[in-house]
Amino acid sequence: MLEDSPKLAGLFNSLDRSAWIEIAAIAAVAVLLVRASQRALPWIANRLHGRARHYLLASVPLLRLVLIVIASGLILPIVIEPSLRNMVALLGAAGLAIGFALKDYVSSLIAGVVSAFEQPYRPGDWVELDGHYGEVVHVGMRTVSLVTVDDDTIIVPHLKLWTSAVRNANNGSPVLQCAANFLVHPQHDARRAREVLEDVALTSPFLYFDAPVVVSIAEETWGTRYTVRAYPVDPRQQYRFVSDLTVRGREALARIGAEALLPQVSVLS
Amino acid sequence: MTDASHPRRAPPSPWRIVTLDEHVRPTDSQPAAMRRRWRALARLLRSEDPDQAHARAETELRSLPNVRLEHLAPALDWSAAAEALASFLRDESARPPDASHARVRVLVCPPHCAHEQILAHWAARHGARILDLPDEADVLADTPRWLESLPPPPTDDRDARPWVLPRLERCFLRHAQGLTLLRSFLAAAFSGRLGPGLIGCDSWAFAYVQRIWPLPAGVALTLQGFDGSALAEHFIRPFCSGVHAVEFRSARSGKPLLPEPDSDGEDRDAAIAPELRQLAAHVRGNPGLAWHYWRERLRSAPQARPAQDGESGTAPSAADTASRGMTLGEDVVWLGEDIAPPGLPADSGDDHAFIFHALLIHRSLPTALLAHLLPTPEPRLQSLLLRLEALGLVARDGGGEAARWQVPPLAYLTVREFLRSRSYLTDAF
Repeated sequence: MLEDSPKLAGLFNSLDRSAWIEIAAIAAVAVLLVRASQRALPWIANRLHGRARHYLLASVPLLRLVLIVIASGLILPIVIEPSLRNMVALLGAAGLAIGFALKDYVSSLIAGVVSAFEQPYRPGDWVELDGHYGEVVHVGMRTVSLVTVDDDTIIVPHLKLWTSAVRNANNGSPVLQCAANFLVHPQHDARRAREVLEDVALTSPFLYFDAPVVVSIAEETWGTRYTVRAYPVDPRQQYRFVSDLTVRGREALARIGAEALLPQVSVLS
Repeated sequence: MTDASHPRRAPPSPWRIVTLDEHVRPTDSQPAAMRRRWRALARLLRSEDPDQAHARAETELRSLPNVRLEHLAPALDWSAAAEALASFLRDESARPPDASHARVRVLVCPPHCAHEQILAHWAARHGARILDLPDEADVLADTPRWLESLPPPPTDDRDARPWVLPRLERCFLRHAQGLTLLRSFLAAAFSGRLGPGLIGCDSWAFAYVQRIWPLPAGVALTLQGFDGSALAEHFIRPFCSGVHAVEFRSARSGKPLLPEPDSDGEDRDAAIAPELRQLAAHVRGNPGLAWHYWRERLRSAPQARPAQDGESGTAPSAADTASRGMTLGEDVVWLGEDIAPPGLPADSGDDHAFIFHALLIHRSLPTALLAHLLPTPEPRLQSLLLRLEALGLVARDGGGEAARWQVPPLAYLTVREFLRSRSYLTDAF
């Protein structure tokens, strides 16, 4: 090993003062641009709504990756002679170090790069990751940050991408489907119940009209389950939307004599 | 160019009724829009704007007194629109019947275009029966009391007296109980059970109704959008001749707003002042809205005095006036700069959007009914309404408990853009 050290050191160019200044300048500009884009784009996006907000938020991690790749591409030829032999030797040495010491960290970094391209989640998406459901507010190099409805910030390493399923409720679209459930005693006019529940959705002030409203019915052992599926104008309204559907749906069902029913605990469990 | 052998054509009436597909929204020309942006940038950089060299400074100008404003910008005469509607229906009935013939038509107008007045004029001229509107209790009730009051089915098609429902937006509420009456009425009307008729509907209500009970294709009519030359014909032309002729000029450029009297056809259209084209594009061709903006922007110079009867038998040409300069006190009315729209509160959110959307879909609502339709608690709703009223974004019609809230004309475009940017259902105009 020791006799290989001069060979490994030989991969690197000798860096004079101006080379160090150049590297520092490139790195500083890259860091500055990354920081600026990470602050400015979400700031602007949060003053917009709908598609504009969503697409601007989603562009943040991709832009950061582009900036890092450009900066690396500019720095690398200054540090080493970018020949095939040199690159293989350097990557081999780096791989050895990573394999022993920084496996999970680097795995998360690589998963972060993959996530920027595959986009299983983007800022503005509502996802369930590692058992946590919330809005993606930041996709970093190593981690993704969610804010849950309880206003908790959950930080999940991208590493989970390799082994866990990602449930994405809107998947890059500015609208997401919500479902409100109604449990009703089976003795009622089901046709009428379906009509009034559809009207409940159509009259909700939250409703996004360019997506369908669907009322589905399922007979359970304890009664009838109605599920109203519809889309709010903004994914952030999903809990208020479901609450609105629930309150007004219960009133509407009671008016037509469809008695609300709570399922037995054993059935629920 | 006009001569004896080629008499100057009278400008066509700006009031035209068209089907929804034929409606054209005027747009400002691309170069004009670019120029406007450049001018804004130039103002920002404090460079000299060449157009401003002869313009009257806005601060020198005064609003017109009410009496003069009533004379120069009288309320729109909607009977002309009713005449255009009658003409459209007459032409249609003269054509051989085809699939596009409908016994029931819907006149859809954007806000502040008074479709109920147009239909009232039409009904008065054609002996049509105006249906009473249901009250809110009727709309929310399960019993069809109002439907039973509708005209009985005609026994003879030839003598069927047409009916008019002036405001469809009053026949429903955005509430789970508020749609039954609307569906029943539309089903009765479009199945032909009520005979021939006309329905007036606000464009926002129409957009909503189309999601609840989509109407057959081709039944909806509307007013054609007013472009710059239509605005010139309607707002300026009636005052630019005769003993008390008035000249309208742009306060920004100092140029007359109406083209030279000898220009014709396409030349005349091209000579329409950019301010009028911009106004038409800004109000999306809505004549009712344009009238409100027009009134707000008219200005007079403090030293201006009415033209002496003996001084001029005809209107001074723009060139004459320009050559005499603009300080001699001729009867010139200035069109001021754009009006600053009312600003939205910094914390505008869902509750504000719900209020605006409900008011536009129903055109106007009292506080109690608004609270019944929206998830916002009534005390918070009252507070929000008062704040929005202070900002000029909503206005009360009437007083006391019966006061109905609505979006005033000068706030409409701001509110529309606010709702559009947040993906709420908007009208087609």
